[in-house]
Amino acid sequence: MRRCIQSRFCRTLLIGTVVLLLLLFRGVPTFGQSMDFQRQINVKIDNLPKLIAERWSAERTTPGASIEHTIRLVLDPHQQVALYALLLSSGYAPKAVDSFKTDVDEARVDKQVGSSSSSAGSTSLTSKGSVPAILGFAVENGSLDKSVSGTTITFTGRPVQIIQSFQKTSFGDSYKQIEANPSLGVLNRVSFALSFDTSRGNSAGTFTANSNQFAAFTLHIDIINYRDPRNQRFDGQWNALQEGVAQQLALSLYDVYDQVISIPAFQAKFQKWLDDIVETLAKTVRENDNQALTAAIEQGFQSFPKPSDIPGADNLLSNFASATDAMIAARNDILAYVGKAPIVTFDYSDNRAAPVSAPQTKLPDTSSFTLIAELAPFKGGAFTLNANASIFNSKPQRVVANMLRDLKASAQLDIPINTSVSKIGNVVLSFSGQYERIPQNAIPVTMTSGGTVTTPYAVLRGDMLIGQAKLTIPVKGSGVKIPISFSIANRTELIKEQDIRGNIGITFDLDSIIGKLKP
Amino acid sequence: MQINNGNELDLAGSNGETITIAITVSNGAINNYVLNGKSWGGGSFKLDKTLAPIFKLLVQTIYKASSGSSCEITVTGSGGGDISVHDEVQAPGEAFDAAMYTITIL
Repeated sequence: MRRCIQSRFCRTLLIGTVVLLLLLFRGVPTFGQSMDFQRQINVKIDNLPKLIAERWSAERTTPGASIEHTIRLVLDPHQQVALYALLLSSGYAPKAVDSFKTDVDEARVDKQVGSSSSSAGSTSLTSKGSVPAILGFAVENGSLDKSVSGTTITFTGRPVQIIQSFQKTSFGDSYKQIEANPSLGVLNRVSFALSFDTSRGNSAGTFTANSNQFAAFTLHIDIINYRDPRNQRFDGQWNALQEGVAQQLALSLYDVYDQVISIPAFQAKFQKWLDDIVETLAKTVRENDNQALTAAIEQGFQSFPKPSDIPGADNLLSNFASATDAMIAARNDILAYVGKAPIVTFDYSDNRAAPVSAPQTKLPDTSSFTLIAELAPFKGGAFTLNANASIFNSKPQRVVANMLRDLKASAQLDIPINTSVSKIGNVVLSFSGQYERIPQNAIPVTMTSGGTVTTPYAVLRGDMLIGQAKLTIPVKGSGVKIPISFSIANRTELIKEQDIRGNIGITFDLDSIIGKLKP
Repeated sequence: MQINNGNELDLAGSNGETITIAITVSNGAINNYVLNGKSWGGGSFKLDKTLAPIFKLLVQTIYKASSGSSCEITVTGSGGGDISVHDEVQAPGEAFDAAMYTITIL
């Protein structure tokens, strides 16, 4: 033990563990429910420019159309009853606790957008079970187990949903089509990834997407994956919510409309507010100034009338606030349950060997077979296991080697940490460990007049252990995540010396963007 | 049935007319109804001036996913006339929304 503490490997591991524990202690997720009234209000207000633009686009050519009329319709209490009830009752809402915010898709820790661990530049030691529904894009730099680092660009996608996207099928309808059509459902279990190593080819360092830089093709097959809240296996929970807290919410919302929003005392104040905001918003639309429209809406809602002097309003608004809280809590419970569904997937990767310069001898391409199992031991988190075997696609030349290149087993624990920073949301802290067994040397040696030459991509028999700590920082609402990882290994595949690496990347999950553009 | 002032949620109908409400498209959405202050299961109802001069119907939509859910609500009257079609399309992160129909009995 004493020798271990004195060694650089163990010291680094110890310091890393202490730092990560401190991080955990500071930001450990609390598993309470968040009322989050303000968030629901913001979402609805932020959506108003889109509603105005869509309605005006549909109505502007009809006889007698005016932008003032369109804005009045969008802001009419018939249309915005939920927003107005939330605004009126926000003072009655329970204080939000410091909790997870279940923005399911952005908070998901089960999506593999980047390349697998065997690629140069990967930031992932353990592959995840899901991939983006439509398209993903990642740029990563570094290396985890090889002596040579690289920069890998990976494109990930599901062919069925890419075709649906080209057919202008909305993001929501695409899921419905897939669920209704068993053949599409089977096909949608298949996704692919193409990886390019920009350090390869004549234009090293520049992404050219030509065959010289092509590094790997991956086929990903979902065996079990039920992490979609719309899946019919969760109908029981949704039905219970509908019959219980959702109906209570509807009743209390009706009462707020009937006894507060629509009564003359409130309408007098509301109509004055509406007249003012319509005039301001109409001006920005006529000037085609979207930024000014958004700003005017935000400013206008700051002076939304208060429900003072309305008999019984306190009680009705308080009831609505409680009913909203109960419904959101129940909905979050279902989404948390959905997030715990297990995932089992199979990955096949065809990895193209890195080119070597003469007189080095190139090793053959390899095929990797990975079984991925993912569980959610706690809300929002994930525990992932990988079992992997890699073989050479042909027998390596000038070397006595098996077809079996290596065997790997890895595990990863993902812990979402609430930062309370509105532009970031939950960052994800991950700990990962991998054991790799290389059964035999694969060192192609070329004899030259100056001695022997081998390739930096050769592998040396032995056992390899890698530990990794990773922080994935999302940019809220953009689908962009920035993974930063540090890994420590007892050796690399070629050099039997301890190795410490830092990796950084940027991943882009287009699902969030397409979901917004084509809801 | 007629739509007032271009607002598909502000309706008018004849006394005795049967109003039918249907969720014609639904994706990841749950709907709840309140008719004249009482829980209602959806379907059809008859306009009756002796019950209320204006019928009020709340259609609430709860979204199952964090984005991409939607539903289309269609209201028709047995006497013909206008057909009201209203879309509820989820804004990213939105948990629920609602449409408040008022049907004035002519």
